[in-house]
Amino acid sequence: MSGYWLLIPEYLLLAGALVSLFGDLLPGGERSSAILGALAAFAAAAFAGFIGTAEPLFGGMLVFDPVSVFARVSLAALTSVYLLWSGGRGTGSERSHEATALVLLSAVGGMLMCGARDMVALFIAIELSTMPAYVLMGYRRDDDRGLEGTLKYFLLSMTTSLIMLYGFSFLFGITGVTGYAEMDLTGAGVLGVLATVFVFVGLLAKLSAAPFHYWAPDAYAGAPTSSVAFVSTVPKIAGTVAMIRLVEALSPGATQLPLLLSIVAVASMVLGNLAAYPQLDLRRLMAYSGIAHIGYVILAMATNTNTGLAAAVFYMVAYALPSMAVVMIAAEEGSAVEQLSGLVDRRPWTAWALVVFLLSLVGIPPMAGFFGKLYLFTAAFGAGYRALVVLAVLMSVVSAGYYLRIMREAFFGERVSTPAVERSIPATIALVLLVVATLGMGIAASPLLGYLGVSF
Amino acid sequence: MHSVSADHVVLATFIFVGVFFVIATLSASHLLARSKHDEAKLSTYECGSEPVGPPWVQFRVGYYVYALLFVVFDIETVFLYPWAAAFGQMGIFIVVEMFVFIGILAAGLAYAWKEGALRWR
Repeated sequence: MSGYWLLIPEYLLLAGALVSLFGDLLPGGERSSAILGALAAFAAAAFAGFIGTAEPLFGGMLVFDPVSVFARVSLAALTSVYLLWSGGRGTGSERSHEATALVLLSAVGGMLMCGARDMVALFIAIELSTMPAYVLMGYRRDDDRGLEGTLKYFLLSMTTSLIMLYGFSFLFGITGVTGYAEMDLTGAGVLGVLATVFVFVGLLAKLSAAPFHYWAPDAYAGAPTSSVAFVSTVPKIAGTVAMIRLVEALSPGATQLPLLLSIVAVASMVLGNLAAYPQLDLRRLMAYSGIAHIGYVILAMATNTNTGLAAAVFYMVAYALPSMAVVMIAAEEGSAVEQLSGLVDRRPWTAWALVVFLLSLVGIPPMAGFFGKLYLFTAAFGAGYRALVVLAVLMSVVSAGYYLRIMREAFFGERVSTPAVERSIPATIALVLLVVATLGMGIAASPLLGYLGVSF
Repeated sequence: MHSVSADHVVLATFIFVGVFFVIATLSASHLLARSKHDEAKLSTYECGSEPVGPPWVQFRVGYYVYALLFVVFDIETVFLYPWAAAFGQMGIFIVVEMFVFIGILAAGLAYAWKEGALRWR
């Protein structure tokens, strides 16, 4: 059995998770387990990049194409940055080494999701990736609102898993295979439509796309902000990759798929952006903004062209970087928007970093978000979704309103409040890395997309 | 070759038969069975076991730990038996693989042990 060395990144993450379970026995205590996890994740990212593309493994169950490599490296690198940050700050009264282990296990699931081209492999990877997320979201066991949000998240996520599994069973019944390579829905009729709808409803709900989004704001607002920084960003990269592979596999037979995805894209863009406006809590605001950004990504998926699908993955990473950073800053300064006021006086560098992240989310050059949106909208425009692209651009303008409101609070806010958490050296390094990545991904957008097989 | 309308007919028949079966069996049992409610009939167990105490007792929440630990050993057994039957044909690789698997489970058990889950409190 050859080819197992291709899974070295996953092994590294798994080993890191198992070791950090015993983090309290390590020299240096709880925090050293997070730093150790960050190192394991960094090594995993380096190995995933070094291994690069390769032949499919297990008879096509796992593929290592450029999209998968790009997503694997970004996912592991983001996990590493997150753990570096959380190692610097700790989780306050709660113990943190289990959180490290859970983050790493979730990353293992996410990395497997990036390569999965088989329904069984995909389902196991999704469950491995979301199970630790439930625990992370409910990490404060004495907080009633947090537990309520977690329970909502858990029940909805379980239900959508079952819906998706039901869809998978239909697909298996129609085609007789679990691998995407031989899956052909052509001529499957109404059963094929049912199967496609079930599978995609499950995945869309996990990605918190409207109209299956309602768990996200409550779950994020109740959860510890530090957990939200991970759960709301990293697993979504893997989810996007899993979804574009299903779009590729099912599109030939399911002709209604572009319509379904367009409706979801419009609903997510409009609802996410408009509902984000009045939010006073940064976690709720970022939840709605996440819904909006997923809408853009799904718009690109609806095209089902190579350019569109690659742009979708690129955009998801370009969204995850600054979004994670904004939630991290919210975790340090306090999660209400007004707690950011006076940020420029007490932490000027953080305030300017916040400007970079928010402008990237709006889509201002030269940040990653601009190039993400540029390629995404170009791909959708080229595929004939002109009206939807116009709507998406309009909604981006709307989104500038609430992102700029955060900036105004940070720079011109009247109230002066004290930060919730002191800044440590590893946390500073993590934020610097995210700034560099947000700017660097914008500058390197063209070669990166060239690697994904897209040229503009 | 399927056609869409044929699929619809199959699906509609399936739904119809499913709904009809439930209604038919429930109403048949309602109409045909005699209903005589005496004290023995209404007790929790009709078979004659005397219920002791109220049914809404609270169980120790600590039991979930034992359920979880049971799963560790349960999974191990589920995979060990087929492995033991087949590893002769599959070579050294599968031996290593099984030790990796047992290692992961053992780490889980060691974690539970470290957290004091094996102590009865």
